[in-house]
Amino acid sequence: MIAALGPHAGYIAVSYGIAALVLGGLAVWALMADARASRDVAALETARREREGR
Amino acid sequence: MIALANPTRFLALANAVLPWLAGAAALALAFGLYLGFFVAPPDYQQGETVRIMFVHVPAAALALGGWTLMSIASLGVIVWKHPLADVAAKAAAPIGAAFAFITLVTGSLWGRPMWGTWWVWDARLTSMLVLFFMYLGVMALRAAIDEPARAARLVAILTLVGFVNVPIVKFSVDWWNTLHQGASILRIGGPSIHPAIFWPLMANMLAFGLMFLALHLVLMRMEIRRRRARTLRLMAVNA
Repeated sequence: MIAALGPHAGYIAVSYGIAALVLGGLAVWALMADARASRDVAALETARREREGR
Repeated sequence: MIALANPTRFLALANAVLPWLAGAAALALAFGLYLGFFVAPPDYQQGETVRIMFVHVPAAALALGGWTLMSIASLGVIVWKHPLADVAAKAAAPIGAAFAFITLVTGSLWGRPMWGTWWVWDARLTSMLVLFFMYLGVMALRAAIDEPARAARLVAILTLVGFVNVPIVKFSVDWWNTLHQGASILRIGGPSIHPAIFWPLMANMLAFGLMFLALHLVLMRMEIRRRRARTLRLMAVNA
C-alpha cells in the first residue's frame, strides 16, 4: 500500500507514524497516570477511614 | 455548567462520558483515515503528498484551539476563580504541545518534497514554533512553582499574554509574504479546497477534535485525583 503512495510515500508514512506515536504515547501516559492517581486516592481514603476509626 | 464546577460531579460525568467519547473518536478516526487514504484523490499539483494534510491541518487547528481553551480557562482562574478552570488549563497544555509538535514535524515532512526544504524561517512556521515553545514554557513554569495557587495564577497570566500569538499564527500568511500557502478553509469567500479533499479533511478534523476532548477529560480526571491525593496527604500529616 505504501508503494501506491508514489515517490514521496516515505514522507507520508513517517508523518502518520510520528502522529500515531506521539498521540498513542500521550494516551498511554495519560491513562497510566490517571490509574496511578486513582490508586493513590483509594489507598489514602482507606488510610483516612482507618485513622478515623471507621 | 455551574453544577459541573463541583469536582465530584465532574468526575462522575467524565466517567460516564469518556468511554463513549473514546469510542466515537476511534470510529471517527477510522472513518477519517479511510476517506483520507481511499476516497480523497491525489492533488493535481502535489500528488499523493496532499494526504499529509489530513493530519497536519487538524493538528495545527488543535494546537491553536488548545491555547485558546487554556486562555479561556485562565480567565476562569483569574476573574471567576472557577474551581475547575486551572485543572482544565493544566490538562490542555501537554495535548496542545503534542499537536503543535505534530504540526511542525508533519509540516516539515510535507515541505521537503513540495518546497525543497525542511524548514524556512517564515512567519507561519516561526510563529507555530513559538507556540510550541510557549506550551513547553507554561508546563515548565508550573513545574517550577511548589505552591499550586501561585502556580495557577502565574501560568494563567502567562497564558493570557501568550494568547497574542494565536491570531499571529492564524493570520501570519495574510500579514506577511510566506512560503506557507495562504488560508484555504477559514477565509472570506469560503474554502478554496475541492470538496473531494475538503470533506475527508473535515472528517479528520472531527476525529482529531474528539481525540483532543477524550484526552483532555482523562487528564482533567487525573489532575482532580492528584489534587485529592495531595489534600489527603496533607490531612494525614496534620492528623
